[in-house]
Amino acid sequence: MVDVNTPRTSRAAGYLMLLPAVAVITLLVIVPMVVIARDSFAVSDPLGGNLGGFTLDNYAKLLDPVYAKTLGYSLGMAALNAAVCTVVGYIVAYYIATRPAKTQPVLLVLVIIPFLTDFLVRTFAWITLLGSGGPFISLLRLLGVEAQSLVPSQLAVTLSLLYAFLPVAVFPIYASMRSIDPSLKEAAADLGAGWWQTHARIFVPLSASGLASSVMLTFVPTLGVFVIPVLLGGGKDPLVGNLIVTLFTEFRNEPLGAALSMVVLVLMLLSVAAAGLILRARSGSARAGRSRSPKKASAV
Amino acid sequence: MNETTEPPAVKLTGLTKSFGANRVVQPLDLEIRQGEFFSILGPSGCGKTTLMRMITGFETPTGGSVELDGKNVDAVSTKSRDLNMLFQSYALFPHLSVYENVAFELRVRRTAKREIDTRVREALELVRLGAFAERKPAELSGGQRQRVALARAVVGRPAVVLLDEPLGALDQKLRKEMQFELKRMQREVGITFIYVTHDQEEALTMSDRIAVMSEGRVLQVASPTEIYDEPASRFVATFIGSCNILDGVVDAEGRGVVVPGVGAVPALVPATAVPGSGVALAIRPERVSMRALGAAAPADGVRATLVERAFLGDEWTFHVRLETGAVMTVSVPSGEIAAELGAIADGADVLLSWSAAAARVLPAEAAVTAASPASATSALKGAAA
Repeated sequence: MVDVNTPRTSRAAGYLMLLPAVAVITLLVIVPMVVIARDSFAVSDPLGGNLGGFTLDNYAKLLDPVYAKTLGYSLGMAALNAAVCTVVGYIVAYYIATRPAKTQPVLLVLVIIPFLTDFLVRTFAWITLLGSGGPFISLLRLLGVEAQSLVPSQLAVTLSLLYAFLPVAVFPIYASMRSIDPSLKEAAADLGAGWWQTHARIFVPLSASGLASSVMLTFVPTLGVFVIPVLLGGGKDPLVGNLIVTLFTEFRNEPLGAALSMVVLVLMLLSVAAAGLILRARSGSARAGRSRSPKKASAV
Repeated sequence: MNETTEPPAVKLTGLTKSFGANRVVQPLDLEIRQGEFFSILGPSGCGKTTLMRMITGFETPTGGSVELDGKNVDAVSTKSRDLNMLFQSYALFPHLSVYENVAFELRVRRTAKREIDTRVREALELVRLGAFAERKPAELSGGQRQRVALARAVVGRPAVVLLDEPLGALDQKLRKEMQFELKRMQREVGITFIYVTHDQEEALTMSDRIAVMSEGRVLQVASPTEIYDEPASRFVATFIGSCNILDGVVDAEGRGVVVPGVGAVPALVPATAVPGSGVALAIRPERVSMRALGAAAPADGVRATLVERAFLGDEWTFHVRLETGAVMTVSVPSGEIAAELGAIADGADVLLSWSAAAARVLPAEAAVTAASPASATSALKGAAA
């Protein structure tokens, strides 16, 4: 108010500083997305060439049971992975959040460390771990169980997906759990609640926002995974990600691959929007307490 | 209430707790009667919170046992003990309404829906929050949250409610109101209250009996008036209210006390006192009277010099220095201050006197040194508050 010029110049400077980020996002995210969106409506020749033009054929082809099945399977796997990651993530996050303040950062770092390794390397590590010469099978044989290599298998895929996405689940849950007053746990015990009741009535509702973030952050990227099903599942049950890769590379049908990519993108956006709506409804009701206090409701 | 046949609400036998090498609660025995408002009073770090947490079951005692209503509960977990706690932070469930917070225990225990409703409404009426049932804790003031916590603690009709410094977070005025409210509610519900506090005024106002703790030990268990008028030790005398302490020696006949450098002073010497033994005299500031050492012949009394005075609203506090250099505090209700007293100038000589009954003879212990000997600062009652 007092000095009109300073804010104006600083605003211009602000835009200037935003420029690199805007440029990067435009070139690496928006432009490719526009290209893919455009290609998804393009006509393809029988050899997979991109002929341009406009057609809805690509989307119509996706209704073919082969594609629909993969899409359904991917959604199922993503939902399963999101559920398993969130449940395991909840347990891990609760464990960490209830440790002494000094050990918590150490445990969190331990959760992150594997995340610093390359995704592909970690996936290969699972082949070794679950393969015929690996420690898991050796242990089973030692116990007298006749076991074959677990790779490729559905179980290996599930385990590896859990491993890949667990840190993504742990962090948001831990963040929301850390803000829960520890005396609530004692209060619940004091009021007669056992382990199950304490979690069902107190900790799960109070970490709902973290749980929702966890579901979203594991569900959406699982849809795009393509390395794990190939390496650990033997490529027998491809996920949407695999299919897109196959359409682009082996079938050389860019328009069809682009159409499938757009479908996945829309599904992801829908799930993010749904999670956002649920979260907003929750936090709205949590703060406003049934319309009684409009003042505080607006403070969200 | 017939106390001979009724088992105590809480009975602690040889209860002790150590954290590593640090023993925070020395082995102690304590009995809390049914329906009693019992306070555990002591400075921070005296072990009172640990003691309370052992009663609730949050802490496992290193030794000794806890009995509730005549039954040993050492192997019973918190969730099955018939007691509730009012937490210092209130520990209200932020996602639940006032109603659901209060109903929590009944829901967990699968009480019938209709009964839940009746009892929750009752409990909310008790704490006068009937109109706030649908609010969330975040929409309440500190005092209201505290009432919700209290309603939640009593709604299941436990045998005992433990209160952990519940008034600490409230402002002075509200705290005073709540003291009487708590006492009223405790009488209405008839539940045994165990009130843990470091605030001697709270303990005196509300309690039927008080246990004074220091350094993990219970020093005295008695009614507020007894604790104030007949403190058992130097620590109790100085921790509860303000108190002048004079070190002296029992005279040869065993009837009086001689304070070195001052001479014989009035004191009520117990028959058991050993002549020649060192004692501490505890004299409340309001029981000392002060006169100007004028032209009149010096009567019986202790000579001193007026050092300074402070007006505290309800009373005047005078600091006087004895000839030995020791500083004593004299307090006079402000409404009753005589013109003569007001006329004494700082630095003038005065004469102090007190009745023998006002000077309580305590063992000259050195064991409990947590409280500094009644210094002038600790005697400035309420000045800090």
